[in-house]
Amino acid sequence: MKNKSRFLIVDDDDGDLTLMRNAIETAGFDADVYVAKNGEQGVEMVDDLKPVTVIVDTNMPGINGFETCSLMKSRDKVNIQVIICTGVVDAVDAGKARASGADGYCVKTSNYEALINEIKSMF
Amino acid sequence: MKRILIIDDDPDIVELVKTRLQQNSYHVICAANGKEGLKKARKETPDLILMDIMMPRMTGGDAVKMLQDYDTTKNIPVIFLTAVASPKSPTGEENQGINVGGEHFPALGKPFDSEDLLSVVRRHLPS
Amino acid sequence: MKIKQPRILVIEDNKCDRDLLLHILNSLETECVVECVNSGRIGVEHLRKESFDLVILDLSMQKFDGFQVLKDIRDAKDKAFPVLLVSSFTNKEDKVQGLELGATDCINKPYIIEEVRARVQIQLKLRQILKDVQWASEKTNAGIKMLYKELDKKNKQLQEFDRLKDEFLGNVSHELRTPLTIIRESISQIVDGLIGDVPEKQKQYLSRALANIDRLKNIIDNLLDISKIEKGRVELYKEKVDLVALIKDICADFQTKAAAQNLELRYELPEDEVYVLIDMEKTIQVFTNLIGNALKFTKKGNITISLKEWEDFVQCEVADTGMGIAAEHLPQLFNKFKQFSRTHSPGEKGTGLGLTIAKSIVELHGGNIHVESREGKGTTFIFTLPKYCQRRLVHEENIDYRR
Repeated sequence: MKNKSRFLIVDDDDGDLTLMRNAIETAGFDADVYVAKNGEQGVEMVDDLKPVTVIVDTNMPGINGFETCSLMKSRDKVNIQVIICTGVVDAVDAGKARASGADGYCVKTSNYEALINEIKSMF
Repeated sequence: MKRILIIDDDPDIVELVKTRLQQNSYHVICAANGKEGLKKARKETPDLILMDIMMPRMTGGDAVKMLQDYDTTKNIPVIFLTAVASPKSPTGEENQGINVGGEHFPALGKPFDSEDLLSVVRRHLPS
Repeated sequence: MKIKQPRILVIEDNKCDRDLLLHILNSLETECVVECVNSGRIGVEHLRKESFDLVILDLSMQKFDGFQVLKDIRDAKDKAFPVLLVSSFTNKEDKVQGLELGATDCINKPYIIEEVRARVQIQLKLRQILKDVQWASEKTNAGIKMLYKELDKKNKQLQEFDRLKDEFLGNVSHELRTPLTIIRESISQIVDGLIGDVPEKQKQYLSRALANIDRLKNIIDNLLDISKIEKGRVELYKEKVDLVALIKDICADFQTKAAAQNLELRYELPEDEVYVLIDMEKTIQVFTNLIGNALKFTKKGNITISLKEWEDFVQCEVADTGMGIAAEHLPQLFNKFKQFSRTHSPGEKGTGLGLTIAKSIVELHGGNIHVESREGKGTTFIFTLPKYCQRRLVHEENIDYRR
């Protein structure tokens, strides 16, 4: 029996959450998509969801995307894949993303094409 | 009595122009589209043609070409009625005209002043 | 995505040294994959075919010239690729030569285990940092590319919307004009008595309606003009025109209006002809708008049109003795939809776009326009137009513009 892939989207913006979820669901991944409104919530959920691909927004109240990624990766490097997603592409941030252990880093475009591409490149 | 052919697909415009021109002692022939207008032009050889420039099925430009194909109609002066802004002189009394198919024609912009209509008709009627 | 373990290639022909090295490498913090070869040639071949993160090369192999192997490795790999050179380095110059040939570090034999461990870790760490930077750089570039793509898409969308808007404006204006024509002519014929007698009071009302239809028409004309000019859709049909004759005729056309307001309309022009290469109809529009503006805001006195000729350009002025414009309004004067007088005289045509259109036309010709005004004294609009009449003429025609 083939397991469905699991995604967890962590973003404080409802609009972005919905759009990203939509994008993933319509991209043809046979996937279950979960959401968390902030980093702390995401970190809590991730243990029960793995193996999971997590998409984290950089800019959130509370712990930011990089911190969230670090925490998640410290739980499980292999079964928790993390993509850090940002509205503004920035080389320094990309470095930070890598340093926090992220597996992917991409910009949010209006149709989230970049995100889908990044996910595809990781599978 | 000078004879004027008015071609416009809007019957209200045709009726209003007809009334105005008749009041000023012109004999008016009416047509509702290019095809009918050409037919009547050939048959009745008016002294002047007033024509709407944008009509369904035949544009003013096409109509003018066809008028020029016939000996009997090629010398009839044509004035275009245009709903596209046409250049006007300062107080709007004289129209500079528009280019249709490479040729320059006098034009009257809609909505027109009745004085404009009469003066432009007067000016272009052969005497 | 799997986390990749660093791959280390050991080129060492001495079995003992090799085994010791293997032992040390297997005890590193970072788990590595280690491959050993005892031939420099085979080592370089492996390097070319597979991906490694570090090479440990014995300088003093019996059958191979270590320096040559080093050179070959350097040829096969990029500048930053880590190569650890190991040797007893009895000849001190060997160390220097090794480093100069591109080794990234040297380790003395016999091995001090801790030292080997430390140096290897450093090389791996540096390698990792480089890879991280490359990763960040690639991701950033990919992001930028996506953003460019997005920008391009949005631009195209905007252009399309722009085009649709213009098409819409054109259609709407066309649609508006026909009913306006019917309304206007219908009322006009009633007022003129063509449909029967009309009592005076009713005539007045209908006349007022007529005047406002003309206002509507002006607004539509102006809106279309503005949109076309701003789009850059307007082409100038340039011809050689005598500005002196043109201005005289424009003034003649406005005489009745000026007289009706008890204003003197006069001009100050050079004696001889002044030829300029301009779009005549549009230039007439400029004068019309400026004179119209003057008429609107001048209650008594005069309006003067003047023309001065210079070598390459002409300067025109439309000056009035009207109410003037307050200094704070001057910067916004050519902005769309700015009105400065709240009192509209009956039958007054105007949308405030006239000045904007005038400015656009002047600038399309390559000229400039500005305004000088003093409240209570009057306003003067000054604009220049390039002459260009002796140089490249679009077509040479001495047109008397009176047809």
